[in-house]
Amino acid sequence: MSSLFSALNISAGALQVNQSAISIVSNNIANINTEGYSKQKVNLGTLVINSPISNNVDAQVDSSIGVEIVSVSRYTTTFLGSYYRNQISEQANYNEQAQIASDIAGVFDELQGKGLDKELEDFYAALDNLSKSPTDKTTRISFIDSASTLTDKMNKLSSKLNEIKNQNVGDGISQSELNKSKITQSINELNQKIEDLAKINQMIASSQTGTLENNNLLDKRDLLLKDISKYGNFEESIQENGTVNLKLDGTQIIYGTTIKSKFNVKTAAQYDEYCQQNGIENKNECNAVVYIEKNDGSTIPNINNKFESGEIGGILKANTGSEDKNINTVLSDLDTLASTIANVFNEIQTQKGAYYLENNNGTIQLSNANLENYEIFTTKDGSDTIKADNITINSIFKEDDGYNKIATAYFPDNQIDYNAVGNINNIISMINTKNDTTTSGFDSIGNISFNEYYNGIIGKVASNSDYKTNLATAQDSIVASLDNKIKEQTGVDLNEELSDMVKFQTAFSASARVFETCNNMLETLVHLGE
Amino acid sequence: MIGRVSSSAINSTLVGHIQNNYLDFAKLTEQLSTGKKINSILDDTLQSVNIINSNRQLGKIDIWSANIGSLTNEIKQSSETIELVMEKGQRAKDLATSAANGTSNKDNLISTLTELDNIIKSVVDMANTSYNGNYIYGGTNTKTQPYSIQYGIDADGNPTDEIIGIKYNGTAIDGDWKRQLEIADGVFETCNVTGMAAFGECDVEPVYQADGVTPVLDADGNPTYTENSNSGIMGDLIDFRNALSDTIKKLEEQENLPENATQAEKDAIGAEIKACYDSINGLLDGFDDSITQMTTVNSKFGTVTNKLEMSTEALSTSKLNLEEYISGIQDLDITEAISQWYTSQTAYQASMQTATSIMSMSLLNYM
Repeated sequence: MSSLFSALNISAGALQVNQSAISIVSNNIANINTEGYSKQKVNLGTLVINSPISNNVDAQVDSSIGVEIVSVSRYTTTFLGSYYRNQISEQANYNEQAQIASDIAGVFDELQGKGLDKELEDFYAALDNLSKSPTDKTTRISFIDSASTLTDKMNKLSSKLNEIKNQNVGDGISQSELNKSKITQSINELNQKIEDLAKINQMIASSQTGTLENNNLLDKRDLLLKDISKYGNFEESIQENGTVNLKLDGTQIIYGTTIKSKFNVKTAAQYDEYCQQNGIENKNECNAVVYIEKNDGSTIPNINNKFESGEIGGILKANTGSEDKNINTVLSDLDTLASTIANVFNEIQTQKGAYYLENNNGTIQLSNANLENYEIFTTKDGSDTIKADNITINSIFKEDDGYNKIATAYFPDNQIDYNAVGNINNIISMINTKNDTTTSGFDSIGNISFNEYYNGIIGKVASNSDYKTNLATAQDSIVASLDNKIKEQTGVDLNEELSDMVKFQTAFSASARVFETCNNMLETLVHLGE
Repeated sequence: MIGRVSSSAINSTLVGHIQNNYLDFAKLTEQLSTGKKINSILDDTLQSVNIINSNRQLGKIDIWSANIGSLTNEIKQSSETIELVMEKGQRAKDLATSAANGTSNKDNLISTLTELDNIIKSVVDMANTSYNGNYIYGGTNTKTQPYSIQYGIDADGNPTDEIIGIKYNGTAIDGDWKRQLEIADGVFETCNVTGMAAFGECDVEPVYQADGVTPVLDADGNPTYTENSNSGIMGDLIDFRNALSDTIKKLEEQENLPENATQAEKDAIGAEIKACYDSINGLLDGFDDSITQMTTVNSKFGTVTNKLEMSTEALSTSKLNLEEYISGIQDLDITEAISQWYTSQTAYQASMQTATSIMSMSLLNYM
């Protein structure tokens, strides 16, 4: 026979359980917009006692002793696993590459008048004008101007590309440039996240000592793992106790609650020095070198190629490395173009049989004295290699009378006529470089014209940007749909919570009524004797 | 499995849709405000490269058209000059014809000589015509006067005003005399001929003794000359002038014959005068040949001009085609775009409206 107090106890217990359930609902609603929060659910169970019942119906009644909260579980989904984080990592990688590719393409945006096309066209137009009036000071000066505009533009394109590179990985020499760069920023953020994850690991380890999970800490852990996967492709292994170990290409980063390794970055110059000191072959092409400092004092000197994906992988790949159309290949294509233009025109200008004008006290005549010194293009810094960033026009042409030094005439086999100032055979050779690319000067660009080669650069750059943007967009939508699935399955739904709230509130009210009834019954009993 | 929906999933989906619609709307707005479908190479890589190539081709066409214009003008100038020289040549031939028939007296011939000297001077001036600051008949020697008149000397070696030759100073006919402009990829058209080919020359120099100053004199005590070359209308003019002045000299001799001259002497001078007239007569064919030579050169100019006209037409056709092609790729179909713009505007508004009404809906409204 069950006692009245037992019923009173059951309802008192139910009041408490429902009150707790309401507090979980309240927590869910409170965190409805918290990133990474998973909906928590109160799992109710019947309180059981293990007593013999046999044929005793009273014992059977007595065994019903009310409700308890078995656990509070969080909604999780398999989508939240490592697959999701790999996709996030890819997404960050593609986005970074797409951003840089589109920055590069922006440098060459001919439709907005930014590339080299107009300058090349003007250069040839000036040559054409020169062929009309080879003795005219104005056409000569305007040719020299157009040549120097061309070199200025090449310098500018090169410096813009280098600027993009500097923003991402520094200039390879200066520490302050490196500190300002995106790679340093990413590495610092990554280290911070790793520290945070180690702390969370510690909290989980000290919190989850039994069978129940600390849902909020696990949410935080998952969120951190997601954040970390943005930077690179880490291998994670989640332990029994809820902590997570992290590796990068076999190197332990976090083990349990300790940080085993930290990331750092140095300039290419510093790495070069390191390689020389330690006798390592330096195969690095990047301005920045990411390395690992282990907490046992040892280091892994270069892990640039270990970042297959993630933001850091994206930055490194777009700037150097194995990727075909990274900023380095574009820069070297531009350098090749600059040196080919310089070589081709210098060769024609200074070839045997070429003559320039000389003003002998008012009489204009042809001359070829010192012709070998009158190359059109040279370097700013005096180096032997002409590149896009150092190409410039020979200062001789900017001197008084320097405009006469452009070799416009050409005579084969010493048939020189010093009065034939209207001879434009050398200019015709220069103009023909538009189409005739069979000469050895064009070997370096595959015997195609400057325009075609430059088209190749634009095409490559633009299609690369297109391709990377498409990859990024596709990856964005994969991640977005995964995100959506995760949110659908683990997110808090207001209506669900409100109906839970009503449910628990009703149960609470009902239990309160039962409690009141029992109380009334008790009172009836108490007043029986009066 | 019954799907679960959560408020945050709905919110992010709705926001995503709004953003997509807004992007479409913004993109169309940009296209409409610029009137172009492709504003940056990032908009459409492949077509952008086509546009860039076509623009480059258009730039070339502009240069070639300008070159053709400049070629045509210079050729027109050259052709006009050659026609004027032909007129003068014809006049000289007429003078020669009337001088050769032996009816003119000495005074007539002297005035003919004066007219001939004027003709020579003006022919030389014409052959020295310049265009754009360059002598057109000098080949590539564009800054040197192509023709200069050579004058004779007296017995002491002092210059006289007697014309003895017309010297050509331009590029030789077998030299590199062409002045060219590009009229198509790698195609260069020549705009000039040498004065030598059109007018020839007659280079005459006095003969000096070893000291280079004292002239070598002939039996009559006159300075002697050597003729280095003789060709074309210039040669004819000088030949005519020499024959004419010889004739005048013989006529003078005839006038100055003493009263008592023998019949033999009279006959001798008469024969010499006859020979002079014959030699003038013999020059007439030379004039015809020279005029034909100039006509041939002039008809070459005509051929080139026709060719250039055809090129101009071809260039303007391909220019039009290219412009049409670029416009087809790059220009926006405004009607279509406007209707798309309205549609996307409606979609954008609709997505915002549905979003607000869905997001504001919850059980809370019923509690």
